Amino acid sequence: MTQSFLFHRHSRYFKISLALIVFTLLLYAVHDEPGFPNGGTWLGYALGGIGTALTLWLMWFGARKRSYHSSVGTLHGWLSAHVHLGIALVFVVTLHAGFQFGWNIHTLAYVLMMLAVVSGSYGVFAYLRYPQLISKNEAGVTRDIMLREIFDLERECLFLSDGLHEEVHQVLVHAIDHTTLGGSLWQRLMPVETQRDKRKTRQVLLALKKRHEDEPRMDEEYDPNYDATMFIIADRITHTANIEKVERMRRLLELLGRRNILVKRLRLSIRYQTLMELWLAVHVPLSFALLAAIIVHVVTVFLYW
Amino acid sequence: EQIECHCRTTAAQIEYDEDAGKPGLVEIKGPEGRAKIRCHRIIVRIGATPPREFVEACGVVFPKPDPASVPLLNASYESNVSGLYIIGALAGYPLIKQAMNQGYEVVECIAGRQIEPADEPLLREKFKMLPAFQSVNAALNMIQYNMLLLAGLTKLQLREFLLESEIRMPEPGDMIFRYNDYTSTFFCIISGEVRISISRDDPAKVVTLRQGQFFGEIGLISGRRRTATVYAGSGKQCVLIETPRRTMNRLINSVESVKRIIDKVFVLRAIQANIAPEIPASDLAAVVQSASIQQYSAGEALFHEGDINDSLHLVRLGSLTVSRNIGGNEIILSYLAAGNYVGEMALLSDAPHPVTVRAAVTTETIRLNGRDFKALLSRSSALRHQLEAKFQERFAQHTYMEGHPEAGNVISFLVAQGLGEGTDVLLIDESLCVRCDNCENACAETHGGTSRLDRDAGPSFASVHVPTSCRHCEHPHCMKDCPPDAIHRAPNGEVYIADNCIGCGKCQHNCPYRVIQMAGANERKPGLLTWLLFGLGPGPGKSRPAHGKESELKAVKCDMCKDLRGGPACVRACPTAAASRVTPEKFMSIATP
Repeated sequence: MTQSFLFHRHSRYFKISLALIVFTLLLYAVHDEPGFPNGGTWLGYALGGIGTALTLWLMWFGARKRSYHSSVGTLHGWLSAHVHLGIALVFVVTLHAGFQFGWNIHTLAYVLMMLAVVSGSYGVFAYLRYPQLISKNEAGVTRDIMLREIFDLERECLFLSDGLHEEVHQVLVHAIDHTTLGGSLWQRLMPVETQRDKRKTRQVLLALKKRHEDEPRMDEEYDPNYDATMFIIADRITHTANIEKVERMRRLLELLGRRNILVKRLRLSIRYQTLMELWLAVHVPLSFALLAAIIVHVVTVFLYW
Repeated sequence: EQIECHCRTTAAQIEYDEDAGKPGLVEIKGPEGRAKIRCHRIIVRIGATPPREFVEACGVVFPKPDPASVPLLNASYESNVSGLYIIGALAGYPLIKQAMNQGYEVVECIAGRQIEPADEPLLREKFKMLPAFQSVNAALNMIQYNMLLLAGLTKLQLREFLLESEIRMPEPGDMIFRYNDYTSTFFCIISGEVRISISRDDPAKVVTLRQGQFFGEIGLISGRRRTATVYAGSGKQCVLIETPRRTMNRLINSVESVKRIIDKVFVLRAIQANIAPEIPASDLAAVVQSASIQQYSAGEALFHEGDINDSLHLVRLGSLTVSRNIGGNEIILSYLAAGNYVGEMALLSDAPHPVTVRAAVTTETIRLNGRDFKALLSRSSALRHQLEAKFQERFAQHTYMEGHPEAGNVISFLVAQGLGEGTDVLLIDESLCVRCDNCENACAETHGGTSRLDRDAGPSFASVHVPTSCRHCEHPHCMKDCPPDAIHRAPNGEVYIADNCIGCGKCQHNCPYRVIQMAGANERKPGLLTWLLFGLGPGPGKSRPAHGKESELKAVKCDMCKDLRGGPACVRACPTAAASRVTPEKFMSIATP
């Protein structure tokens, strides 16, 4: 529908960034002074100055993002410039250092910069990839609505389980209580039942197996992907004579199935969102660490030169 | 016991049982269809419609059979029956202030004292700037003599009309209004002339209008912008009467001759502007004569694929969807806004219509008779070439759209969301949106802490998401019924709610898109840096309601950031350029990237 921020204004910032890189490479190539290339030559100082200014301007993006009254360009224009010139920064700083690395604060600044740029690159990749995946998964149903639907279905399931066998009610309550949505970072990225839950479910299944020891049709192995709760309830149906109760249980299974699908969808949506935003928690602190390192680097270089 | 209300309905049919005491049947027709309701009694509010039979029985003559018409009166409100005077609502003046003044004048007249009408000093004030002003009556006579349009008005109607108008006397070269302005007043040229710049690229192309003619009639249709820039001419002093839209529309509806003249001129100018700018008015006479104005409700077809063609439609107001039945589905091939014409395909080739054309929203078209138009085509090769070029352009576009039915489906979706009646709509490209909510934060931060935009809410289709946000409709539903008249349209088209809102919530109720919310003032919060460094305050995008003012709610909605430099904050604040604002004319380019 619209053009992505990367190609803002006919890829204007890509062109500017490319020009800067080429210009820097050319200067480096023609630069001829005794000794190894390093940050102390006139070119080194020039590139160092450019690199510092560029870094400060790149960090200013965070402030611009929150200046809602500002009409200095648009935010997507700023992001386009930020991404393209961020790549150019790598070239500028590497040539400024003249490929001289060691175990010191100067190289630390360099490493922090590289990490910041790499995390930012992941960000670009994430911003290009995940929106479509999220849309396809949500299919027009917002997370709020999904959550409300899950609650509604759970309420109906609990209501249906009221007149049924105690075991059914128990496993249902257990399943609902132990379903996590969102939560810690790990839970958002890897939304499966915890090991403790798996163990508990396995215990219930084993107890069930014991009860029906003489019936050979039970599976020996517990498949963690198999929905134990639904299996237990389904098993109950085969041991119930009362038609009304069987109908109730069938309806319960139908609702539970719908709820489980929604839970999976919602978890996937959260997972995608987390993957899409995770890198910022690394990118921003890194940039501040970089800022500190640059300050130390510049001060020590001038103090000890 | 409950009372059931059926809003926006009319009575389609009444079946009454002769047997008193047995319930009859009322069939009502509304936006959701028809319904039959049993009832014992029907109570009708007839409003200010005069009890005509009684008045006619007194010997008073009504000029028209139309039940809403008013009796013929002279300047002293006397009817054709000597000694019988009619004032107030019965004479067509429903306001209390009018009836009081008229009553006083009539009593004085009967007593033999000829007094000045109440509006005389007001009119004198207005007219005294006219060149060679002598008296109000002389001025009125001069105006009616110079303007054929106003010749059919009675003196009373003319006074009423002029009371609500302004006299303008611009200097030569003064701009009267500019192209794309949202102003909507109507102008009569009493004296002098004006120059209308009809081509934005070529300032030399002007049309001159002289004394007795009028302009600005496009403004009579709500929501239309000015289609040209108009300057006062040099030479004789230019004197104009500028009339507000509402007054003009009222006049059109009450005086037949005014309606006829304006419609004819409108049709002629519409044809000249949109179809045949090079052809002189005399050549268009036959086509204009047989033209008629047609109205269509949303979804109604102008013609179907396969119908025999007998007319060309020029869209005067609203918009159309062009579609074809492909494999059992109606696939949309094009979306046409006002100013476009349809039907040319069949006229050029004498074949039946190759497409179905429907109104996307309430639409009005000028229907030109096919036979007369074909005669015009045979006389003007330039016109024929222009139509053929249009035909080819559309044919190519339709072929593309047929091969990409998803594009047509996107347009269907947009039209189904009612976006066709908007003038500026916020759309979000879901393949770029990272759900960061920066657009909502920007809206809240630039509007006292309450976001007028709900990004998440709203439907999506094929990557196009329509968030809940005001569309600044051509015919704003919110404006229809605002008791303090607080909702206006700004010169650039933004519909906004002014400070005198009383918080009654009627606009919120009337808006079919639920974009208006009732919100109170928010407390002032610490700045960004304070929040960042010390954690004080709710942070960007969030606000707390002001203490003690939670119940003082007023209506808030998107105002397109009309007071901000740079335009809509939501679009400016989107980091990935997913948010964009479009007008319905751009629907085609959204559907076909």
